[in-house]
Amino acid sequence: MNQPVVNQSEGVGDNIVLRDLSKFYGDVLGVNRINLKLEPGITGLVGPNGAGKSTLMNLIAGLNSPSRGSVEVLGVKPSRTEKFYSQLGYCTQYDSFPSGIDGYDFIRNTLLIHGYDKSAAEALTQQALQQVDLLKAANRPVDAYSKGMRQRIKLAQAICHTPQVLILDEPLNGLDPMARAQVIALFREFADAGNIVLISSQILHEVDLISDRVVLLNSGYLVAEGDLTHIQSETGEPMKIFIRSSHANDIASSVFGLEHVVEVQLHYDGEGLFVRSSDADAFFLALNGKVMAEGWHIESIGPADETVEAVYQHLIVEQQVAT
Amino acid sequence: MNTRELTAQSMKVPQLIPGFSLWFRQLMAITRIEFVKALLSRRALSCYGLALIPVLLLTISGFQKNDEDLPVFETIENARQIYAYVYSTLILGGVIFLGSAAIFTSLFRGEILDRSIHYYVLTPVRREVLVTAKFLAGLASAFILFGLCAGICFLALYIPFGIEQIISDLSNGIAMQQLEQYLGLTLLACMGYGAVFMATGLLFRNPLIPVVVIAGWELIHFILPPALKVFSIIYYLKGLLPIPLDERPLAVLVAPPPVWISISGMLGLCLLALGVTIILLKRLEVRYTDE
Repeated sequence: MNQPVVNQSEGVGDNIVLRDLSKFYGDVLGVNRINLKLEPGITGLVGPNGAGKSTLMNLIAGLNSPSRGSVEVLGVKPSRTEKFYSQLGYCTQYDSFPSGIDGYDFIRNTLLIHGYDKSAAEALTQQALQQVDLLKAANRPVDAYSKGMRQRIKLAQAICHTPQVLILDEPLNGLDPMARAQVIALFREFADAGNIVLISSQILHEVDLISDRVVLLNSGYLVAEGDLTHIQSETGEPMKIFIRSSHANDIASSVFGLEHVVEVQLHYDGEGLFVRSSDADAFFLALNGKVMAEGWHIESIGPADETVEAVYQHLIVEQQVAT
Repeated sequence: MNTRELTAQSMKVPQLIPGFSLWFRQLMAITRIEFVKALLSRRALSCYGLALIPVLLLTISGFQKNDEDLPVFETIENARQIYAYVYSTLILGGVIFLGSAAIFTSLFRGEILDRSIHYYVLTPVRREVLVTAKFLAGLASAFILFGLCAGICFLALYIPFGIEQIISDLSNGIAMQQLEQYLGLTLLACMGYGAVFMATGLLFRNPLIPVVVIAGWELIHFILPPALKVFSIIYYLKGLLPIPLDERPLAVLVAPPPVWISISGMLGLCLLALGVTIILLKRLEVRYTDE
């Protein structure tokens, strides 16, 4: 799939813009020629281990400098330290903390270093700890926290200064289901307020659940990006459609003869069917005509493979198997 | 409070406007945090141990008698001469050198080793402010520790002579002047060695290598030709000792540099090393080794 070319001036101020971004560690490729524009909302970053997700996040956050290309976050380059980091929060994959520090001081010190005065730092610390539900454990040493608590305190550290851009490397790791739901709601509200959230995760159904769009990386290359419908249509793969209807048998035999239908499969309960079509628009048009003519009742209809998992399966797993 | 209320509340966050007042607040905050880390953490135990060595040595010597049942420090002049040797070799060459290495190297390298340097890198702090703040914190903790060590050792000389001698010497000027000179020397040594070790802490993955190399260079400085002596820190510091010491056998004798050259040389070295540290920090790539 062709990568989008990002124009010099295109919506730079509100977005994260990566231009021709590459990173090499000696001879080892981190990421190569990434052109990408990330808009407000939640973007899921997906790819197998070693795909370059953390490298890309580190480059965006300025922890690593690119071998080639450039990064701009809300129109600011990482070299402008003060402006850049005041608008960005990064929850890294590193599970390490300054030794001996407790949760409260960890957040408070971060805010004092940002330059907030004592009272503002304390108020923001309380707020961040409350947002990740760690107020009760705030005075315990971080070293004694469970994996999930450490994940949450890192998250608090990333959001405590209320940035406009949040970069989260595997933020759901180690969280129990309740905490997951809580932080996902937090990300949603953060994004709904017009901010940018970039989340990497190996848990595809969660990425699916929370992301407005996805970026797929494989072996350091950008494989696809955009919303799932767009990616799905770009892949050129026949679209899988699920139709729930009490006339499933009749519909199946009727659509089977259509030129662009490549597969029809009845659901095990006889009340639905899966159709694979190489031209979804033409299929829906033809189906409408038949439904009107025959008077079939359709309970529901929709794409069955518009999930990150399906896209990942097609664009990454199947490509790897093929090569 | 639900997350919506919290988000709404977060809109009231005070804006931080870059400028001297913000830099000063950041400088003070980082200095305080790093000072506590350098002086009151487990990391500091080795420095406490180092500082105790000369204190114990001179305190015990103060109570000891020689074969003729006389104090080891026979006269106060003799005691000051002994102190000058102890200060020059053990305190300056050992305690301050190694202690500064431990304190200043760990300011950045320690955080790289315990994988927490990225927390600093991700804050909106000018790298110049970060380096200056860390240096000031290291300097304050090193000077408190080693200045106290030098001061207590100086007072330990008076053990055989009693409290009246201390009061008299401190009030008539000579002892106070010498003590001030030793403390000033301690401060300059902490600054010089500290700035160099802070830079090497960022430059070398294994911080022991530069410590050993610099220690070797400082150790052989007395046999170096004059043209090379100027590149050793101890050359400038020894020129400031209140009591000049006899050089060792094989030493290449040169006149000590004037006081103003010694002081401005140390300040210049300090600024140069801080500048190098700032450049290194700006180019730092956070990539912990086992990734």
